[in-house]
Amino acid sequence: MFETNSFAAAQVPGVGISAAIATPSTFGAQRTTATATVMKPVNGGTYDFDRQVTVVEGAPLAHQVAERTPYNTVYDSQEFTDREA
Amino acid sequence: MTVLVLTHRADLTADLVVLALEQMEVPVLRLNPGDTGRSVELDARFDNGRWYGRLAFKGRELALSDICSIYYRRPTTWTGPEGMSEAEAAWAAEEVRAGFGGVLMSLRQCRWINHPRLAMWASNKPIQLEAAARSGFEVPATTVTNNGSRAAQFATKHSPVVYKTLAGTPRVEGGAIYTTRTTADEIRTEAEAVSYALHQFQQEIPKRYEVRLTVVDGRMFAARIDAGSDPARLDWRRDYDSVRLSVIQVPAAVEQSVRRFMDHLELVFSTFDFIVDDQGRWIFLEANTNGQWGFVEQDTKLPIAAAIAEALTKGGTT
Repeated sequence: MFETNSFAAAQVPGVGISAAIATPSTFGAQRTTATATVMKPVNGGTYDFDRQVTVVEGAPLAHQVAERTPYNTVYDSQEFTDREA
Repeated sequence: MTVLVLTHRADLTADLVVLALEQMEVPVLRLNPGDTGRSVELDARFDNGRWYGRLAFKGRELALSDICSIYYRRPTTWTGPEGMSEAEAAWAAEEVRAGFGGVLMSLRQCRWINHPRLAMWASNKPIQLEAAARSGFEVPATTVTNNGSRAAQFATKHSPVVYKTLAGTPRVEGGAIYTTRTTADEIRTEAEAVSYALHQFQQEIPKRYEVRLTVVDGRMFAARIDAGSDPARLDWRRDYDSVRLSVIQVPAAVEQSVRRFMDHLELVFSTFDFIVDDQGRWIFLEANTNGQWGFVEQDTKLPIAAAIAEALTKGGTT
């Protein structure tokens, strides 16, 4: 369920070593495949804005996970496996 | 004081930290800077030499002065409303990034896990290898080159070798480039393609098993990874279902090197990938400064989320 891939904090397009030490521009959100722009069910649950986690039937999904296989979501990079695991 | 978590809503791994903080009764605000303009608002002013103001998200407000630490997980790219041209959207995204990042990184009281500037620096693979060797790790023979002939020579000398990306995989749907075994002949055949960009080739280390080590503020959580298939033995991400994780102790010498590496690169958090060979030597492959760990906690019950939550409440600055 948990994603085993990710993007580096550093995955900013066109950024090299010299840019990496230019502080303000390295706030690098910011290259990811995710486009979380609309409310949709996430990870098979619903995002609870009060608890700030995804819930299924009122309980946090992260505590219910029984399977290990990464879950494909429309938000994150599950299908874009990269080096980071 | 409040912990600010920067990530997208589907980040289940971050959920674990939010829940741990909730258990510790520590106030948390979780938001995604990429949602600026839709549900996230930043209103900051520069006054008397520092930034003041507030963040707002879905009815929650947080004074910038109340942020004690920031967990930088998986914030996503800002995407504008429909109708913006590509150029407008790209420019606006940069404005959001510079504004959010600049203000937050200017807050003097915050501890970051990890500070984006430091994480960016440390995630560079050639820098990592140098830092790893300097820290006392054994590292595989490696070349970074766009010279196909030289790459082929390297492959002949260090056979078997693997190709590994330097900066992740193509950001296209279905795109994934795993660690791939290759040969001098293959490289010669693809010499022209190799010449177009930099490529990383590395000596393939015969492995007994791999280790995914997660380090949080000096605490170490190591998981032994036993691959149950040939593809997974080359790169365990290829066949995740065949992988078995179990807790393993970190040898003292490796632990010492890990601490030197973390100090050298000023990291609070990182994951490390090691190969353990038949002689029991731990060979450094790479560090992932924002690596995933939820699956490790899930399988091994190592209390990584709690450790991150504790680190976020510890105070201090980055």
